[in-house]
Amino acid sequence: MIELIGVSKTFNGRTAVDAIDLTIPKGSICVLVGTSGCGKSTTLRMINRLLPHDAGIIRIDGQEIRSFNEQKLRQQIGYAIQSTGLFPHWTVERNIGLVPRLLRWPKQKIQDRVEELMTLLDLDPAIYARQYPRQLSGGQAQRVGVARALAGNPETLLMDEPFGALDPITRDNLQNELLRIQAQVKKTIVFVTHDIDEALKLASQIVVMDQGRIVQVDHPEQLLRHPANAYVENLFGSQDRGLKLASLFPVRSLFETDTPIQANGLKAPGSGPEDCIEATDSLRLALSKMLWAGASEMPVVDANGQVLGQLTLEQILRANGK
Amino acid sequence: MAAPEPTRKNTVLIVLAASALAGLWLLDFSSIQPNRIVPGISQNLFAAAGTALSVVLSIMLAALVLLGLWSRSRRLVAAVVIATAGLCLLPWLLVSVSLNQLTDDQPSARIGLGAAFWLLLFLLSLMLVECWQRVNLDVHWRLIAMAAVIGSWSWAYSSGQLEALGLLREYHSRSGQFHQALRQHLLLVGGAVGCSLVLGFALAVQILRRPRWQEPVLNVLSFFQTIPSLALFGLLIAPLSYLSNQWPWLQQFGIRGIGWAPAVLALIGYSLLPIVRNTWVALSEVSPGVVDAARGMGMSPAQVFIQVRLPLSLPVLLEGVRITTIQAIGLTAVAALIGAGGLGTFIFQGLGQAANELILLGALPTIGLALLADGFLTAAIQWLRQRHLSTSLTAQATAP
Ligand SMILES: Nc1ncnc2c1ncn2[C@@H]1O[C@H](COP(=O)(O)OP(=O)(O)O)[C@@H](O)[C@H]1O
Ligand SMILES: [Mg+2]
Repeated sequence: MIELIGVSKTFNGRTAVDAIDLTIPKGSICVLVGTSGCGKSTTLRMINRLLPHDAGIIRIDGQEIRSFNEQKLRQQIGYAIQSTGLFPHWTVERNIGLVPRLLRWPKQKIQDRVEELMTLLDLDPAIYARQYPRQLSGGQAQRVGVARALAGNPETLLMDEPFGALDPITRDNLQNELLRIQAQVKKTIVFVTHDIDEALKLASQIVVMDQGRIVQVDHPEQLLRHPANAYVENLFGSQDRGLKLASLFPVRSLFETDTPIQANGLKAPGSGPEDCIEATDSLRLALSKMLWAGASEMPVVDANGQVLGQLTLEQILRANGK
Repeated sequence: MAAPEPTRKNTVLIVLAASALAGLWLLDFSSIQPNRIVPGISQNLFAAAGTALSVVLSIMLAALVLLGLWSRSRRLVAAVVIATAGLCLLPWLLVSVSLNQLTDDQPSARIGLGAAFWLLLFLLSLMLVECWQRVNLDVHWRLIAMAAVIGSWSWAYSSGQLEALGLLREYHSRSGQFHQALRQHLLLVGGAVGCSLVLGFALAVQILRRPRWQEPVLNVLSFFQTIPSLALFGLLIAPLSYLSNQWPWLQQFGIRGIGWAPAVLALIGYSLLPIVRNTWVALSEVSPGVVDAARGMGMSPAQVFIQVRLPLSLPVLLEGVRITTIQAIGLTAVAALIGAGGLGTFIFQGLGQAANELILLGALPTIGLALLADGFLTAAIQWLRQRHLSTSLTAQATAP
């Protein structure tokens, strides 16, 4: 758990972070959003003391961070940034093993950990371990960056726009992978982004910042339904927030609350993925498929292609408008 | 079957080979002096070394012209072989001159080197480098070619037939002095570069920390560079003599108005700018993201500096050392004028006595040292760059 109480930061008389209070529960993903220069990175960098805070208290698991040795603290907090910050003169393997080496783990344990993480992040150790960062694509380099942040097995992970420089497809892949990894390892993650869709997709808690202040802290659904002011409403797209909301819920969630309709256990009649809706699709994707097909209802299938039932337009409207 | 590679003109090779051919026919190759004082009699290659060798060399140069006119990469390899052979032949031409021209009744006669010799040496070297760069010759073959040339020269030297060369006579009559001068030269250069490296590094780190100092410091150092070397050596004489007169014990360490002290001080003055500037640029160009990550991972400031910033800035930093070293080798020759010793001593003695060979005895090793330092440091820099940073070629092959 991370607690910030009345935390402020001033640069040459200009306040970058203004007396913010924030509690980040253990095992959650807290996403900081807001316009450029609103103090997201500054907040993040105060947590691992890359910037000293001028006022207030920052606690990790109840301990004020100033009571730790600065380097020891950072070794126990993962850190990933947009530019990856990989050391160009070190191999992938050596980059990932940095924190374990700083923590003086035994050699074999470090090597095992590096291989484990590379496998976790879908990088074949046989191919990539000995390569240098320049030899990697942007997506691979960022995977290495994330692996390096996880290497010391930290409880807390700070990520500053880690996927900001990637193309949309690679970004989407890495977001999915972060969620997959998080389901396995359950870290406390503080994630900075200015991409609202990314925030909605990843966050268990979104913190909206404006000019150094926290404007609203809420779950994605609550933020979309009840924005605190015009700034938040604007940031989250007053026009298409219906669609953004629909993207929060998987089709599966409807079938858990409503009883599945006509579960007949037959193979899906159509062949292509456009002809049926997968249970893991979001309501937004389901809606899009229906719009494309010009159909007001479509079959829903599970991962094996078993039909779970029929999804209707009304169901989507009811779920979203709740 | 693939079409044969079309021939192309290699103008550089043609011009170089044709100039060498013309020089060979028109200029003096060597001169014979009965002794050190009497002016010598100059001769061209035909008169000096005999027709046979002259014709062989002429044919080789003509072949190079032809290869230049119809060049192909295969044929340029032949040009590399011919140019190497030419450089190997040069000392044996001198041996032939010595055998043909000197009789036993002239024990102190000496052979001087004429314009044609230097021109051939220079142009053949240029052709060799031009051709091996054109065909992108493998480093191993380049080293073999160089070894062949050096081997041929050493062999000719060990035959004892080159002893009559004025240059070697000057060397033998003062070999003790020569070695001492060489040692002094290396010591002055090493001391000055070493001191400026330590000082310059400290200065660069300081101006990195305090950006406000950056402009004044760099301005002062650039100002040093604009003072002509002789003037700077001269300017230092007065304050240093004053100091050593005030505190005579300083003289025990050789600190006087003249000698090594002003020389080293001036050399440091000149060396600081390249070192400070390159170190500062190198350190400040290390990507801020990399440094941020290094700190964020929990490396201590010393670890960040030693493991990250320093290795990443080493190539540019070494580039500063290279510039400084070459510059210091040349400037040290001038420092002989204020009594600092070194190879420059021979140059200025030779100038005073109008003894060309003595000038060469100082100048050739100075040039050799500079080339050696340049070659060695350039190779080191390239190795460092290739090792970590220019792997982008393979990147395209492996990144999906
Ligand atoms: N090291 C620094 N020195 C001076 N000003 C800074 C520094 N870091 C950030 N700032 C200022 O603090 C404000 C917040 O910056 P930052 O936290 O980086 O914003 P963002 O939300 O885009 O990450 C900006 O006005 C920025 O100019
Ligand atoms: Mg930022």
